[in-house]
Amino acid sequence: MSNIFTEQPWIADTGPIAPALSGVQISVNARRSALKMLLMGVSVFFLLMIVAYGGRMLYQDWRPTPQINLLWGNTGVLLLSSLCLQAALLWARAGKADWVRGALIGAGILTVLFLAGQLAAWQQLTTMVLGDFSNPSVGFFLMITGIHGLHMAGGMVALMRTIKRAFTQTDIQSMEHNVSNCALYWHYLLGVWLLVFGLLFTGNNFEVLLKICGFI
Amino acid sequence: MRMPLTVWGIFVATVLALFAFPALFVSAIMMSLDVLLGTSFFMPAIMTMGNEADHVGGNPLLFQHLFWFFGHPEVYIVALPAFGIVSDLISIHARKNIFGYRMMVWAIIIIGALSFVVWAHHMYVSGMNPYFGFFFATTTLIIAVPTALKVYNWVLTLWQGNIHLTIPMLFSIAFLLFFINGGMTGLFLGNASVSMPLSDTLFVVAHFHMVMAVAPVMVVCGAIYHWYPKITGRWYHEGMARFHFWVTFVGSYLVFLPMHYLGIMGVPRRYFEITGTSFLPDSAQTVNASITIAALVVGFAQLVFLYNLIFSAMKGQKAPGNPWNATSLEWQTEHTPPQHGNFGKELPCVYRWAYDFSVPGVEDDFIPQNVPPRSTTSEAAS
Repeated sequence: MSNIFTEQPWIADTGPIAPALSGVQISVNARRSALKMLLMGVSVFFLLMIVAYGGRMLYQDWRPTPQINLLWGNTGVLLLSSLCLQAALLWARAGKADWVRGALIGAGILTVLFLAGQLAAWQQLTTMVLGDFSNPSVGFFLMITGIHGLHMAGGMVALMRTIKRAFTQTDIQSMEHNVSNCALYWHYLLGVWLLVFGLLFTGNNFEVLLKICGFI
Repeated sequence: MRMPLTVWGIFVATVLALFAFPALFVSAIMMSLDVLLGTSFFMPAIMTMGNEADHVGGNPLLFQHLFWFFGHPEVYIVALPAFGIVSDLISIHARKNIFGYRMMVWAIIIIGALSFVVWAHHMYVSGMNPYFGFFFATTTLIIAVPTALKVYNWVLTLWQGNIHLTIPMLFSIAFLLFFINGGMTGLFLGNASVSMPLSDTLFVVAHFHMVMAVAPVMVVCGAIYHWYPKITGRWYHEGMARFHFWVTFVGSYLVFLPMHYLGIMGVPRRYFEITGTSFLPDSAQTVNASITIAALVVGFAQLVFLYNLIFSAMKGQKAPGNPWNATSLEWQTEHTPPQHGNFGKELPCVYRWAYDFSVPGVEDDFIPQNVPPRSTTSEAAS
């Protein structure tokens, strides 16, 4: 069995290498691959912001952001919306179309609630710092939560389309593909949120981590 | 592991773009917020036009890190497709399979991966921990290994090949000459201690133009001439193309080679006019003026190139479907130029790599990728 290390490409094949994939399969794979590529790019994006945050923390004049308790509630709401989509995926696999529709709508409502909660958190922070954004940690908070929120809002477009299809189509298998893509995106953005929330916006966790790594 | 190296180069460059551009995006967002919202990511407490700005505590170095985390992979986003294309041009026009195909593929992948851990070699004089400087100098010099392997493989592909000095081949050889020259000066600049006195001089300008501006542009020109008959179905004007090649090749050398000497003398880059130049001989200005003249002549040659492309697309001689006797799929299309769908109703099936040139016992000196093994005489015998 040859692999990419031992394959000898100069020796010609005796027959076609792999059977050609059918049209639908190619399109599903392409969508899934495109989503994974997008998530890889988004990962780099958030990773760089976290690294930049840490780099800025190392300076003497660092002032942390005031704590906002509302964010705990928002985290719970996002977790629930992600669970709804997971449930929708499981029900789609079990062929229960009505349950899928309900779970999708639930996920949509919870996501809108999360975004509203994030806006309220912004409002609270702006009041706390009296509109002065010159503290870098405040700037980072607004930027990171803002960009995360924009990603959620972008996901809502896909979710709305999935909901629309779930109500117009009866083909449970194509429903499953769409729901599974939405679920992957939501779980991923929940993971990103848990990471930035845990590291940056719940006390000095990131500072402790940097200390353990010997940077401070 | 049987794709043409052109495809490998473009593929890996695309992956690099996927990982590198977010850094530029992040820095652009942060800078926009600094300007629009009054945040202080990059802007330190600063006096502008006699007034104190609103910013406190920003860090300009952070911008440099983010920018070069994008900026250095970007060099390879430019270079890797050129590496891939030139491998194919050299192989096709020397009628020989590429030397060390698997090594070439892995070199592209390794160069791509390493390009993410060298960015701070652009920042040696910005101020950094000497250990970081050591780290980035080491990683930078390690990149020279896969790059040098590629250069040896290109030269070894030419070795005892049936070299056709066509326009694409001329540009490929010019690429090698520029790339080797620029790569050598990269060894100087990669070392933090050697780089510091050379920083911000014309030596740096000469280095990066040789290695990432002119060298890939040579490949771009070679690639345009190589695929021109397939894209337009017509030949370019040979005379104008040769004029374009020689003027661009010699002219670019006349522009960038003298810059090394000016740089070592200490002529800084980026200045329109400098004072306090008593440390420079008068001849430095003469060289500078000659560089300008050479650059203008090279610029004129590009007008001839553009004219040739446009004129020949309409009035050039008709070209056959596979004028270079190449093996890869794009040359096997039913029509030239290819029509919608490229291959007609049925997609071609690939049986072999793209480098079956001068195979012993086979009548033609090439076997297209979509020819099954049993249909050639030697393979049928075996």
